[in-house]
Amino acid sequence: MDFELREEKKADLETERHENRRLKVTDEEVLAEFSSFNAQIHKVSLKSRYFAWYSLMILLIVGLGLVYITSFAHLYENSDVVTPFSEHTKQRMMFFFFWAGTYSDDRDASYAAGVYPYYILMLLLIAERLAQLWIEQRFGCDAALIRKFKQVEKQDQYYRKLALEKRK
Amino acid sequence: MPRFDQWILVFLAFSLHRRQELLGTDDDERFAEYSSKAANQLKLRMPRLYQLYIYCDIVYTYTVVILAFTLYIVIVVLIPASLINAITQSLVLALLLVYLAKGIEKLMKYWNVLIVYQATVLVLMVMFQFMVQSPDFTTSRVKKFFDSWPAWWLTLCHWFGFVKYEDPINLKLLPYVIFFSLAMILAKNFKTKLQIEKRKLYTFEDVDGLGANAQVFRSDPVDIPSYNSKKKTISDSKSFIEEDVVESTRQRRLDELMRADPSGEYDDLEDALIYSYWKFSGTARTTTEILHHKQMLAMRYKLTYMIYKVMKAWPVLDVIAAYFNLLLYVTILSFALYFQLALFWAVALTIYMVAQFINSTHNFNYRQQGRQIFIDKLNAENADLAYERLLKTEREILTDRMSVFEQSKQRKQQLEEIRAQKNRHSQKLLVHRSALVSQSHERVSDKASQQIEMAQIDFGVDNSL
Repeated sequence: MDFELREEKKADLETERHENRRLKVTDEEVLAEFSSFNAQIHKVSLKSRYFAWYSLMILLIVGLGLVYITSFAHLYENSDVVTPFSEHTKQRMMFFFFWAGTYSDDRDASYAAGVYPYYILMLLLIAERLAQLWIEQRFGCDAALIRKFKQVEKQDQYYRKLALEKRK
Repeated sequence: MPRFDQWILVFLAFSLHRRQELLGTDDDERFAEYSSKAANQLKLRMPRLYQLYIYCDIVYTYTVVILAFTLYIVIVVLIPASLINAITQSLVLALLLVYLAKGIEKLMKYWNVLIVYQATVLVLMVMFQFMVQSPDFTTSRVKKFFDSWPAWWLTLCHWFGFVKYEDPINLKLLPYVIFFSLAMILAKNFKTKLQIEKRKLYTFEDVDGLGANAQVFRSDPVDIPSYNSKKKTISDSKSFIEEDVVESTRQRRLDELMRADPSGEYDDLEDALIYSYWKFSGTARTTTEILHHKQMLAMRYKLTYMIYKVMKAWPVLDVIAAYFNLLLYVTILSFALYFQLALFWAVALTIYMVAQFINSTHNFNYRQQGRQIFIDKLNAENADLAYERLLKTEREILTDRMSVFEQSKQRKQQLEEIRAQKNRHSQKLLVHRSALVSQSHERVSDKASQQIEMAQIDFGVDNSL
């Protein structure tokens, strides 16, 4: 009787498996897929990262140039210095520089105190580009090159041993 | 240890050597000969010092580019600001952008722009100062000519940086001289750095063909008779010849490879240096050994080799590199909120938002792709079907889905029927089982009563009592 029951259960399980075969996956398969997915996920975002980096770098060059110009142009001075611009245009230019955030006034604080965020941004952008290059191919250190290095190191070991033997 | 005056002599000789190296000499061959002799002496007498020199050279070659850029930017900030310096700053930053985006080859191409600009600036500055500083300038025709110009012309000159310098004229002109000389010196350094990076490595496998000599490395190298010089006798003359043949063929093949790849060229001077060094130290015997040591020297200058050496730190660096853009984003956000509410930071934030939007769409597409691949893998037995699905139209896919839905409906009905049958069967079974159980119970009770009776008889218990 028990045998009969077991057969029943087996048949039942088989029908179930047939039904759900499309959805049954082992843990190993899922993990393998996940790891291969993760290996590429950061390379997918490289394009957008490069775009952001390039645009920010151009913005920084323009911004730092404007800041540097305002540091010696002294547009705020209502003094005897004769400029090619009228008072109205001077005020407008000053407003534009101030509005753009690229106005450095050395009456209150030093140049460095007003401009340090731009330089911090520059350092971070350099590091960001290095990070991108690292993700791309680790500065060109790919599998073939590593194999070559290992071969050359092996050769070196061989010659060292040879030299030791010669001295004896 | 040399005496103090000898050290001074060494320093003077070094500075002279450096000067010759930068500016060149009439007799290049003799210079090369003397320098090779000096290097050999240094290597043999003070190997530690030579090693230190090599390490310093490595550090110098890898920090020279970034040092140059920082020097330019720092000097530009420290000296009096002018439009000329503003252009220098923008030019240097643009070159930095080119270097980081496209590499050192493009930088070398565009570096000439900086050289030309600095040269013209220096020449103009010197000309202007000579003109203005002369005592006859106030009464000259040039002065009268410029006096007729509008008044703002002077301001514009000041803005450009053409100002009459007071007493220490040398000190004021020094930054421009430094800019020009730095541009000239660094152009050469970039070239050497590029040469190091471009050098190719040759192993025995490359030279002998595909793994012909791989057996040498698989076995213990000391036990190979043909490579052991102690065992060389007259009886082993055959192996001698064989070795020579192998050596010559290898040499020929290496020459071919070197000729095919001009970046892997080594000049004769370097050959001689390395040959003499390894010959004196008694470690090298054959030409291939010398070539190998040369390769080791070439290899350890490479950035890729240094990266390979710190392989243990790769996982940490990977994580930092993968999420560094978040740090940049947070910094921009914090500056935009707490430092300045300005257009610059607004634009920076906008750029980052657009980038993140593009990034998210890319990520979503990639995830969908991966999902599709995974599903196709699951349906490996229906691989052809998966391919067909790609060719189908949307309507066809929909109808397919409908059919699948209907099929699943039918299957469900079948399943329900099977379950119902099973239930009926199990009910029957239960009835049958309960019947069996009751029968067995009855049997057990019968047996028990019989046993009790038997025991009573054995012990002679009388029921009637």
